[in-house]
Amino acid sequence: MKNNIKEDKKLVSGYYEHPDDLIDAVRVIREKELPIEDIFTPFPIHGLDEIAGLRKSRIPTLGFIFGLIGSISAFGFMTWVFTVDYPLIIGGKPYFSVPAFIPITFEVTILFAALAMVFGFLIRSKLGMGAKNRIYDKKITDDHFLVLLKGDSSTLLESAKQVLSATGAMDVKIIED
Amino acid sequence: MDQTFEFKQKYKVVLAVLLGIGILSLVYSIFSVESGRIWANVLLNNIYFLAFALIGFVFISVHIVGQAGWHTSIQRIPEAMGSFLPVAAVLMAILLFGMHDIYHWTHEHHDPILEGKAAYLNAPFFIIRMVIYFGGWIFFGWKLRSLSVKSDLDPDLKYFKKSIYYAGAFLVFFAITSSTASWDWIMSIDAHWYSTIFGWYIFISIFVSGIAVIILLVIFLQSQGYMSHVNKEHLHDLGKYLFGFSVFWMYLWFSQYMLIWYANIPEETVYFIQRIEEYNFLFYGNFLINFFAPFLILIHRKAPRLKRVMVIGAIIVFIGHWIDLYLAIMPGVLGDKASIGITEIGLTIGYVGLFLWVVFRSLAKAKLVPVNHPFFKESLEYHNL
Amino acid sequence: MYVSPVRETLITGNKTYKDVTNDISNPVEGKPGKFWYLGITISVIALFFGLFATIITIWYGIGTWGLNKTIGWGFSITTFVWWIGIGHAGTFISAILLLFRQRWRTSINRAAEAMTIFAVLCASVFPLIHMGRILLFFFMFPYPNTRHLWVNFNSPLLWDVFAITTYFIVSLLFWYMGLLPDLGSLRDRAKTRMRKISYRLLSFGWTGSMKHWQRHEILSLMLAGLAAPLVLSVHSIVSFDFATSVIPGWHTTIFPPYFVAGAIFSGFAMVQTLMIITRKALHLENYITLGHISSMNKIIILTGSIVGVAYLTELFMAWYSGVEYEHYAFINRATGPYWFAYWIMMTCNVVSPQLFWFKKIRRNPMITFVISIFINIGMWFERFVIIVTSLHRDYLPSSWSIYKPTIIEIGLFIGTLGLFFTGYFLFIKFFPVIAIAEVKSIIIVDRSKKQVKNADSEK
Repeated sequence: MKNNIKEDKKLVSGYYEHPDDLIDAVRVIREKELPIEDIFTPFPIHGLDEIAGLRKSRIPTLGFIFGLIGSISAFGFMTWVFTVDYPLIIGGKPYFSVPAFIPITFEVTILFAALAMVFGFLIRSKLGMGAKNRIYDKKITDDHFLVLLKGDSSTLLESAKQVLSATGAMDVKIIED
Repeated sequence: MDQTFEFKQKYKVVLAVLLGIGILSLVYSIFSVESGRIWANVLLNNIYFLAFALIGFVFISVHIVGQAGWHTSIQRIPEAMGSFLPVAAVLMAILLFGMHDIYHWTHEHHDPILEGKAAYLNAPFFIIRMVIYFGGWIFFGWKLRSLSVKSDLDPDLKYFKKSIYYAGAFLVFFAITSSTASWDWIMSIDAHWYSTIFGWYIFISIFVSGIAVIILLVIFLQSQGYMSHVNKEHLHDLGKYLFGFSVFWMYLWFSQYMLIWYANIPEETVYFIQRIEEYNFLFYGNFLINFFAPFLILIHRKAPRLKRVMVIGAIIVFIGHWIDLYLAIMPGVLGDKASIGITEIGLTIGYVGLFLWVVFRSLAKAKLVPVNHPFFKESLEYHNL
Repeated sequence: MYVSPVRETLITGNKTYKDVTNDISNPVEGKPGKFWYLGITISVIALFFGLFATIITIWYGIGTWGLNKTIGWGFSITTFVWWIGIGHAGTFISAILLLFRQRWRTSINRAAEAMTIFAVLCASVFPLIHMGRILLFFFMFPYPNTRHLWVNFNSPLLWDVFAITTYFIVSLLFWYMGLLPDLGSLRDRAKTRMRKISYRLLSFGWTGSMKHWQRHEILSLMLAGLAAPLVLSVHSIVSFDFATSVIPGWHTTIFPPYFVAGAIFSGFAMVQTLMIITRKALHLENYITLGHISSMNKIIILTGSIVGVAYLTELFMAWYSGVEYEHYAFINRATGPYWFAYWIMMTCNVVSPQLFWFKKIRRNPMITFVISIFINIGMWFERFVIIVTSLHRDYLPSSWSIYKPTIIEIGLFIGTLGLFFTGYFLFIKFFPVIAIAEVKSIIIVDRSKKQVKNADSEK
């Protein structure tokens, strides 16, 4: 989303000190249909994504797909090795011994799904070693609940400022992106 | 919220019809099938419906001890399920007359292996153990239920505190007796065979089906206009249990099967060989229906929140674990002569009628929610996602 | 969110969000105390002892150990299973307790997960050096090679390779993803240049954006969903190493769930051992309260009792089976040359946790600490009983033998203890021991009180 911001876009920020204040404020902001750039909180706030109108994350789907890939490739590979490439009788077990293939199939499924979800999360969120995400307020990770509204016209910015102040936000200011 | 369930005439009629079907098919069976098959079916259904009663109390006790809280919104349903315990005790007592048909270790024998086990597998000790199991279960169940009902009239916390002790003690008692009871009643049918995991396997099997019954009862009561406070969140948690313990059941099933398959010791493999050769369809079907079906139905995060999906899942699991027990009991009693016909289906329907009759009667005796439970208010504001 | 008044307060001391950040970050930012220096010195010495033993083993070979033809697995595999077991508590706490919504987990999950990672590292040392030719360790993995041979997918030992590798990677990811927000906290508080740079790199650019949180939460939940069966699978697969064989005392179908219960049991004992020291040393009594200790003790009773039931089940079935070899294996456990190991196992694992039925004992950190040490010892002996006692008298009485560990094997054991504690001490120095953001999400701060407190501190 941040990429779409044009040069002349400006942001209005203000912070709250209590999650309940934040949720009340976000409800008001949504009612007034002001565009929310982002909301920053020290800890996950239950239901905030719904109130702020975020779409559901598709990380579970990613995990499911890669888990499926993992299980098919692991099971398929073992089957190919033991029935086609180099069939060997070990311990009197048949070439194609399904029970013996289950544990590894399971582990590879979990591994693939977990890796896919973690990397999916990091890539989608633009997180990683050396990532240069802007920190709007150093106290977000402490006890500030920061709301960032965007607006490309001065009237929009003005009303954003007003709403933030009216809902009890502190340190309301316009910042250049 | 302060509702009380009313055991209406129309329910009674339906349940009486179900019970009638059961009795009719029993009469039919007496005249047309061998006695072993009838007794085996009585055993199967005795255990299966006794299991719901037990799991009702296990469910409550686990949540009391774990201080879960959300369970209070549906607590009265597993409690009512538990009221079937005394009836199950009577039914098990009747079964004693059929011991000869079911347990071949009760016959005259000169079998060195069975002689080695005679100190445990003998009729008097078998009966004594049965009395102990039921004595303990009924005592703890009665205590848990009465403490819960008493708290409706008196908001004092002492009932809640006392119930923690009884729940803990019951779980300890159940942990031991559930294993030994499943050895006595099920594993000893194949008297030569043994598997250390067996008790836990049976426990999880009945636990899953107990959860399925709770789900079905909750949704039924809701469809009749009761328990409107039970929301998607509570259903979601029950769905997670159904999903999670179905997977756990598969894990135990696999552990037992794989280890016996891998070590390939004839004394142990005989159990599976018989089932694979003579019950091929049910043997693999058991695995599909009890693992893949609930797994695929409930894997989506939203699935447990949809009532229709939950009903389908719960019914599949209910039938599935009946088959699981069927596979544990029938091959040992009837060999390759078992089948599923009027006797099996009719008797099970009859048991459903009897079970629900007892449960509904008990449900109507107290409020549908434990209004004074200290966690009740909390459970109304419960969220999952 | 409404919380019933009968519930015990999870975090005591009326903490505000700011207090939580301060209290947990302070130990990381301040100078470590004498205790820390003493601890890490001892740990590093132990680590070097282990390193020495490892070099001797690799240089001269497995002959430096007390193993013989009958007893091919001794101290090292015992310790391997012990460490893997300990490594189960962390992921259990963060995965299964998360799914069961036990909110007290937030105070202990971070440290327990770190413990998991170090424990798995310690465990993996043993199979590696036990291979004899450590430089060929990559033979364990299926890769196309000039010998045109694949690994044996039917072997439980290979399942172990996959299980432990997966477990290590997933636990590491789970732990580190959970750490990101807290590393962000440390970054934003950092005063020195060195700290600023390192925590900026480590925190991956965490901003606290709601989009990050949304994905982070669902990721945690999904990873928990994956890690829960994974925890079960890992120790089950370790148990398959034994249970797929035909050795009396090893081949028993209860092994998978019983090993898992034992693993969680020993893992929680180790968490208790560490957390009781940590809360004292870092002054975190308000975060790791007696309530937390009591909750963990309840899990110890539960898993300890499951283990106890499993012991009795095994014993009963050995008799019930009518197999004379099974009979003998169990009589030999209790009365044979290694009788002491069996009785240590029984008293430490079955009897001692039962003391936690008493509320006074459950809520007493000193006694809990002592019992947790007993359980650690007992669980080590459990594996010793299973491995050595079952092996030393096999089907052929002429090959019966006795196993005594050499100083090298003991050195390896001490070395992994050194590795574990070195890791843990470094962890508590550089990372927040408690999940800051998660604790903040479970405390309820009063709106008005919050304002007052802030106005004071702002001056």
